[in-house]
Amino acid sequence: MSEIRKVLLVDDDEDIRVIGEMALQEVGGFGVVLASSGAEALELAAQEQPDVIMLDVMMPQMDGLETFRRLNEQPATAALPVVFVTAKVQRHEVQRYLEMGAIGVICKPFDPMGLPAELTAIFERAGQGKG
Amino acid sequence: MTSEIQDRSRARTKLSELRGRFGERLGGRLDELETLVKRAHCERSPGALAEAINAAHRLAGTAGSYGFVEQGEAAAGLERSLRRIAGGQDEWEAALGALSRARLGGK
Repeated sequence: MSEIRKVLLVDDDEDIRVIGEMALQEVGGFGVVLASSGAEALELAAQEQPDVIMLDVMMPQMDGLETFRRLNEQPATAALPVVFVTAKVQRHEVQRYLEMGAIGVICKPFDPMGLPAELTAIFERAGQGKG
Repeated sequence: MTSEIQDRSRARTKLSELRGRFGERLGGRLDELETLVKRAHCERSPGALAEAINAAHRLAGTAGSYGFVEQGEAAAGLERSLRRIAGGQDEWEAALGALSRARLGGK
């Protein structure tokens, strides 16, 4: 039995971080921690222990998939649920992300007013939320 | 309930402000995208093409999230064309057309 209190939003695009933070905070009432790279995400995930991580797939240097792999390697972050966020979603890619262990995928562009509900639905469907 | 309605109303106001600010920057982002696409078209190098694909991809995700749906869809179309070009197809006409549509707000 848990609910989302804190989200780690990881995206190299500042405009996405800004609107995502607004949506998650103002609409969803969640606490939000922001990371602009995979390396920063690894550090903040271990430090902040968010309830869920929203992880952009396509980022320079360390992309979302590599970040996810490294999160899973670290005992402090291996159990943290991850939702991939991507603008390039095809069914087989969604399937691949789920098979890797992500709890869901959110497509960009997203509706800021609906984003918290979409995230909560994924979280609960994955058995992370209130039963 | 009242508080929830007030929260959503506050969020909508904030969203509208953010949208306005993004709209002011959108022209600059489209200029950058156009420069990258034209450079890729001129140079025909994998590096220049990859940069243009990345810029189109980012704009496709961002513009739509700020409510600039037509520009976002045109950028997504541009990204698809650029990826096909990277795969060896000659889609420059479609790519440049998508770039123009992004400039015109999808029209």
